[in-house]
Amino acid sequence: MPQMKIFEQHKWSVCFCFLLLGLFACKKQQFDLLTTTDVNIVDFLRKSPDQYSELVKALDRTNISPFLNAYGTYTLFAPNNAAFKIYLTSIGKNSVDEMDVDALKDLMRLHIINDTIRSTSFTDGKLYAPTMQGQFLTTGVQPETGATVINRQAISVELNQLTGNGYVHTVDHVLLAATLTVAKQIEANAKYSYFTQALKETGWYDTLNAINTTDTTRRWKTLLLESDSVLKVAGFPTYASFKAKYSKTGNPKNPDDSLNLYMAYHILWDIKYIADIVSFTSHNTYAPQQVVTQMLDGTNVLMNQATFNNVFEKGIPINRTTSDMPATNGVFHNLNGQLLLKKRDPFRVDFDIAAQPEIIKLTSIYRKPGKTQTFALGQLKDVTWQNVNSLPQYTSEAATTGNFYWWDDHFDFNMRFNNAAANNWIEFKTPLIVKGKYKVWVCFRRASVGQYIQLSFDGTPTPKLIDLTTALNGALAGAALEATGYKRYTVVTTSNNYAMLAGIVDVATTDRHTLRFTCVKDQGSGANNTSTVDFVQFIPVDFDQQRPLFGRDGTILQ
Amino acid sequence: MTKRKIIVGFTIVLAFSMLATSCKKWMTLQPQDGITRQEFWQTKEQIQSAVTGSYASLLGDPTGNDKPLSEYLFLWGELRADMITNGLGVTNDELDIINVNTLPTNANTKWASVYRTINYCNTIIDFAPSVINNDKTLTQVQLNAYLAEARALRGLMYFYLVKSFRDVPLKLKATSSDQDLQQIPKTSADTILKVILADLKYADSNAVFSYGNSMVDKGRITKYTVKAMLADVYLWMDNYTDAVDACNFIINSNQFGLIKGDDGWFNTLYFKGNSAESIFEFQYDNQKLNSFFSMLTTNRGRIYASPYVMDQIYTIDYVDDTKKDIRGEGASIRTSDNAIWKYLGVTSNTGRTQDASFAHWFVYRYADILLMKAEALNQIGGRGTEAIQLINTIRNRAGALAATNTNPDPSNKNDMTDYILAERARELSFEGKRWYDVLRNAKRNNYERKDILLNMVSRSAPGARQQSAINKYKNPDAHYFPIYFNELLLNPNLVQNPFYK
Repeated sequence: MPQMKIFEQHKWSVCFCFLLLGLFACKKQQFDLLTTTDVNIVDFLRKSPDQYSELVKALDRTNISPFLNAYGTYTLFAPNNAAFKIYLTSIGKNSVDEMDVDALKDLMRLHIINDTIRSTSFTDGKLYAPTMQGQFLTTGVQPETGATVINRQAISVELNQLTGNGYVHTVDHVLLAATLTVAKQIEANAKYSYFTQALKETGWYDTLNAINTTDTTRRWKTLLLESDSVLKVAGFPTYASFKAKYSKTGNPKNPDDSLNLYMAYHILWDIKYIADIVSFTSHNTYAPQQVVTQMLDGTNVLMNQATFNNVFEKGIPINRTTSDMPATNGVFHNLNGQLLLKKRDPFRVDFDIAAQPEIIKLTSIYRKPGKTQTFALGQLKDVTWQNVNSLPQYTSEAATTGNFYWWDDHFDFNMRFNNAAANNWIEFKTPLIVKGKYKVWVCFRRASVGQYIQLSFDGTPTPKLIDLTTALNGALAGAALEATGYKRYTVVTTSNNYAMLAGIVDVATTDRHTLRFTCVKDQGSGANNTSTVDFVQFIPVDFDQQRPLFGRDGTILQ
Repeated sequence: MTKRKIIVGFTIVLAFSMLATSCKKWMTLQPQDGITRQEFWQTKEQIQSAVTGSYASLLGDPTGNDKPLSEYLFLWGELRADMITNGLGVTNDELDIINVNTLPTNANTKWASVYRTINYCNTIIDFAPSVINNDKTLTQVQLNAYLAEARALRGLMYFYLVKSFRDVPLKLKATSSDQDLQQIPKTSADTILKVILADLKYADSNAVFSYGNSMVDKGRITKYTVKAMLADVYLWMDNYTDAVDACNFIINSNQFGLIKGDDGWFNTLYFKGNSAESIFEFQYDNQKLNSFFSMLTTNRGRIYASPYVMDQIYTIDYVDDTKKDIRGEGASIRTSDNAIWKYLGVTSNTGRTQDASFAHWFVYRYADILLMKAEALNQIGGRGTEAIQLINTIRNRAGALAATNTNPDPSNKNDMTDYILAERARELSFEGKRWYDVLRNAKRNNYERKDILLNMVSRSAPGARQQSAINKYKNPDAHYFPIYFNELLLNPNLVQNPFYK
């Protein structure tokens, strides 16, 4: 048995070989359990204890670390150790361990936002998302150095440090929440004694002193203030004279009292820093159905500057240095003049939809015979429509035309119901319309196909459909014609250009509103599904609906 | 001889023959699909090719991976200024610059396209002089003329860098092999400006007046081009008498003039290019298109003219529409959609097609020289009336509207500065100059006129960011771009610019 013999001779070496195999084989393979090696926020902080040891301690102690180090989207404003040192000294403590856990938790939550916000999203005002504590943080830039300032308390040390679950912005001071309400802060400031007194007497003080957490729409408020010196300049040497001028009923608590309305008019809905104020043209106030308008002139923010019924009214500037003051329930601004609530009577608006500011600037086209121009979505700031491929067209009629448009021009848009090539709707921003009841007349040239169109005003549909095909009933005229919902608006008696009543609208606020044309029934295809609208009239219900008449040279015949 | 021996012998012969014929070059290390430096640089024609190549690099990245230089120059000169606004297709990086939020991660701050051309110039400057030993038909004068072109172009490129980034790495030797890759730190802007001046002065003494072909004269650097660059650099360095001298050289040569402001003006100057008014242009043509068509038009256009341009820079005569500044509607701007027409139009009302997007990029033209001279004269003092005359020449050609004539007192430097700057905005709109014009006038005399810059940004920044933007620009460090973050990773000796640390 030679094989046996060989085995005998080599059995130890074979065993050794197997042992060797056993040593090297079956080493447990390491699989990556994580999809990324990026660290999350807390691990990022732990990597630099020289900068963040106090912060990590605070996050651990308040039990925030676990979720801040887990999957999610966060932004952390991270005070460094120097920042904590300043803060702890100011409250007479040596370490965050000595602080009350709940207070510390509240403090830490002010530094965290449930969203990823890079510094490119910072504005002059508040960040778009609130902190976990509930209040908003503000951002700004320090003059001269150009450094980013957070909440007017801290300067950024390093911005935009990207971690696995969000951004870390290192700051040099601990951020502190506002502790007083708007009302309390006004009261504490001797410059605002008139307003404090008036707020108390009208009862608005309590509104501005409360933090309404049940009705979230009323959680935040913005107060526009007038200081005592401004009111003194306006002719009120004492508070009594101020009250005497405005409080007509003798009971300022009465919502109809002018002083009460005066105060209500100075309180805006929601929390609006100047950066928010300049982003919109008008803002709702607590005075029923009243808005304040805004315009940015250079760096000046002017409230209620308007040309109204051809009268120019100068705006009231906001004093930037004493404004944007945060409070627990809102923010307040200081005005450099008296902002008055004005009673305005409704007056008629002939809204020429072709006279868009961008079109007026086209001097070689606007009201030049025979010129046309199409517009793409986004080019007209006050007009939007549903279909990006359907381009409305401005047309100024050729001198030979038989049509009869006011100023010879019109703004046309293709409308069809449920059609991919045309618009289902188009929306216009109206000029300023004073609150009241108005009849809405659409003045247009009828088309042979046309479409059924429904108007809606601020989202509320008007009762009557506009049929762009029917010819005017030539047998009727004047009041009889008006009673059928039609009227002539031209100085000649053409049956092609006429106006159709869309219904009565109740304009709730003195403001610019939206007017939408929606197609509700398809009338087939063809070149004539273009709606050739001349202009839209808003005439107060108690005004003469038939006059004036309009000429193609721009004449208005009273 | 057996059969077997025959087969063996045959095989051996065959094997040897294979060895002898195939793989001849198996020991050579020269690349077979290109030409090496040692084989190049033999004749004067090769120098010419290299010089032409450096101009070609102005038109676009040869690898096609980067944006063309002209696009960077447009974005750098206009995004931070007040004459443009964003279209639907604007990129986030562009929007951030418009909003005064430039971060080091912003891809528009890449400077590679400028350094690429600098390296081409460095290569010529390093290796062309040796050609004279190999090619006896090359004269020293000819060689110097080529070197003048390369050094002037290098000077121009560094000037763009200094104006945009302030302190940048200064590399004056070619990067021609891996050993030449250096990690060099930044050099101060003042030192670089001296190097630029040295380059331009060399070019001034050695550049040719003409290449004998008016088209080539506008696409290659002549002595006049060098003078234009010198005027620009002197103006930036506040050296006004030398700036005036440089301008005068061009004006007195009678080689240039303003194109008459008639119906054909736009077509001659901007569509055809290389006109009598032009001094130096990037020569795009139908084989090498610029990138402006898709950028400035179509439904995803990125950049449009700001509504402020027609309204306040050119102004509109609402009463008499025959009165028009020819540089406004139908030249700089198509007013129906505020598209930037300079790069899109054939005439004032017909547009280019995509395959005709070869509008030249203007580096210098005669109108620019006149306005530079006016600016320098105003700063010298006591010569405001001369400056007014120059501005009037420009205004009369264009039919500028009376509303834009502020009638400044010629002896009032500040009013004159504003007036000249406004005229530059009208004349050189969208030619990548606006931001640098504003910065140059703002920074003069230790930022004496910072208000120009702050007023500009208060107009151009969106309302909600206006105060932040103004406060940032109060710090002069913010007037220069950050170094793109990738450059810092590649070169540890680079330090980020102060505002962005």
